[in-house]
Amino acid sequence: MEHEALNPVLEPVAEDPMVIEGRKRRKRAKAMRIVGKTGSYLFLTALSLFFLFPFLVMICLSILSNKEILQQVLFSPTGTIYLGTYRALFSSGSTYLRYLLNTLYVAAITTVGIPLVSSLCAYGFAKLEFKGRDVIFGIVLGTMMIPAVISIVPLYTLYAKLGWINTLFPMWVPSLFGGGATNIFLMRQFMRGIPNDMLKAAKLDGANSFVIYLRIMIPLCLPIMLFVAVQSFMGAWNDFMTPFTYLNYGSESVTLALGIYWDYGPGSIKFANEAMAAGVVMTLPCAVIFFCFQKYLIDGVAVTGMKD
Amino acid sequence: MPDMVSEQELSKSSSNAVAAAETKGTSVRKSPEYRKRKIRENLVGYLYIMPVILGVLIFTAFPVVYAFIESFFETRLMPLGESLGEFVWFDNYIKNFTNSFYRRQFFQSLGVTFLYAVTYIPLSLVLSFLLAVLLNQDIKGMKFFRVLYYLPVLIPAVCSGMLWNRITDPEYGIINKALENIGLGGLPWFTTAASSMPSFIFINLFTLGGSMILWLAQLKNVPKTLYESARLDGAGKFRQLISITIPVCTPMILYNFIMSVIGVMQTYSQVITLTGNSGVDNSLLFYVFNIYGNRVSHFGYACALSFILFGIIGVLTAVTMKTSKWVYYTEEG
Repeated sequence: MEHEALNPVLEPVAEDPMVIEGRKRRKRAKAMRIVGKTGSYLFLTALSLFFLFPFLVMICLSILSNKEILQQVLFSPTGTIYLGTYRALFSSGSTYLRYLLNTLYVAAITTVGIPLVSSLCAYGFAKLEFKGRDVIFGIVLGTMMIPAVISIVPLYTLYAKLGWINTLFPMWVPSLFGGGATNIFLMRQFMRGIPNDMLKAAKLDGANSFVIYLRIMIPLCLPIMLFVAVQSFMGAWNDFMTPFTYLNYGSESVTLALGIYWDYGPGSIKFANEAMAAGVVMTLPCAVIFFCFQKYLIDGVAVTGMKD
Repeated sequence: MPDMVSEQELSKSSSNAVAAAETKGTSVRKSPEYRKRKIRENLVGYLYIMPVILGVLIFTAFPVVYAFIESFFETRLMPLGESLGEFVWFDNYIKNFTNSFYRRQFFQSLGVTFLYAVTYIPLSLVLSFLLAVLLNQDIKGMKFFRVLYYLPVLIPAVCSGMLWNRITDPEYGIINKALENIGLGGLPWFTTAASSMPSFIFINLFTLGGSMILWLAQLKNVPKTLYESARLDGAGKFRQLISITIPVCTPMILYNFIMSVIGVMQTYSQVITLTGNSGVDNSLLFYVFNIYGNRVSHFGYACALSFILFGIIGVLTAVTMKTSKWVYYTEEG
């Protein structure tokens, strides 16, 4: 009774047709939302099957035995997992192992070197003042527009003169000269976001420009440096055109990308399980790194997105 | 070290003095101390950017200039400094139009490259954008789907080439096998000229995840307040997409478009790792195939071809920039 007295207005309003209509509408909207959500999920799942397809095929074929490959199946009829192909890849004296070591060597140098070198250059462009700075930066950016093929072919003559043909040098030395215009650009964008007051304070405390770079810029730029490092690793790992252009068939310096092309590429008569195992091993580091640094990669992309 | 520190401090205070003096109009600029400091500053700056200056000179400027000179000679590929071969004026450029053999190859490769560009670039732009919009919804598990869709991008190009080479094998390939099992005929894939390009485009659709991630980052940058006010004005989801999301994303569309054009015009490794050649009846004879095919025996011609490609890319970029009135820049941009 007290309750009714307290709320004299609410009771009649609840029976108002408008309110009932409103409730119904809300219910219908909720039902629609649920239908929409399930629809979304169904569609997303169907699409993910599409995108998973190459990955699944690669993994499935790699764990089949030679006999099963000849039966042209995707899954083993007996449900066994055969790892002999993987073992063969890593057995002593396999050429694959040499490809892998060569690739690791190149990737290690560029993954460490490119972030360091490009951050040095970016620091110069972002925080130091000197004559012609912006003009030089413009030229560096302009080189991004030059198609790579225009220099990759004539550089052969230079590398031949230096004795670099059939060595690993063409794959890492050039990248240490600046680390690439895109990376310098990304780093410079990031560094420009760091307030100058901080640097000025350090300067007043007697720090010279290199100390500032080492003690202030590098720690603050770690996210973008990590992004560049991961990108450099992937770039070195996947690079096909450089070894393809500067290495001859049978060279000692073959990296994974070229080795897989020669051994298992078009025209190869090797079994699919062998080829796929080689592919899975090459893909694995990229996948692991992506999962570990997902956040940095997406954030780094966000920086790329701000380009204009 | 202490010397340097004091010098730094000195220069600091003197820069203040310079600023003060400049406002008064006196000529501190010409004082020897100021000049010395300026030179030092310049030297330090150049020291930091020295790697990239050398890099641009050695690995970009030198080969480009060298290739330009070579493009006027008939030379075989040989180490630097040996004879240049015969000077042939503009023959390496002109023979693409006059010599029937070179003309056929040149225009075939242009046709293939442009066909791929005009079909694949718009297709991938639109599809990856739709994917991003789809994955930008506020429901559970989106992160998981994003990773799934990105997975094929992680497969190295050479692995994906050999993988698809086997998947699309007309006799032993997994797709044709499945189609035959359910009573449908197998697809010809790369065994006929007509089906090669569609097959190549289809295969490349698996890497849409790469541009999708770029879009997603861009979609996050769209100010939330815009959507809120649009909702208050009664705009539906579709209307919001057309009137807010797309206009805000136009700078990104422009950037993506230009980068895609530059990339697509240089298509080579994806094809060579997939088919090992330029396809049946040269149906996948992309422009760069001619450059690579001629680089050893007709180095000068290959250089001329790369400069023609440079020109084409330059013109396409310029035209895109000139017609980019549709790009909408926000205040920050």
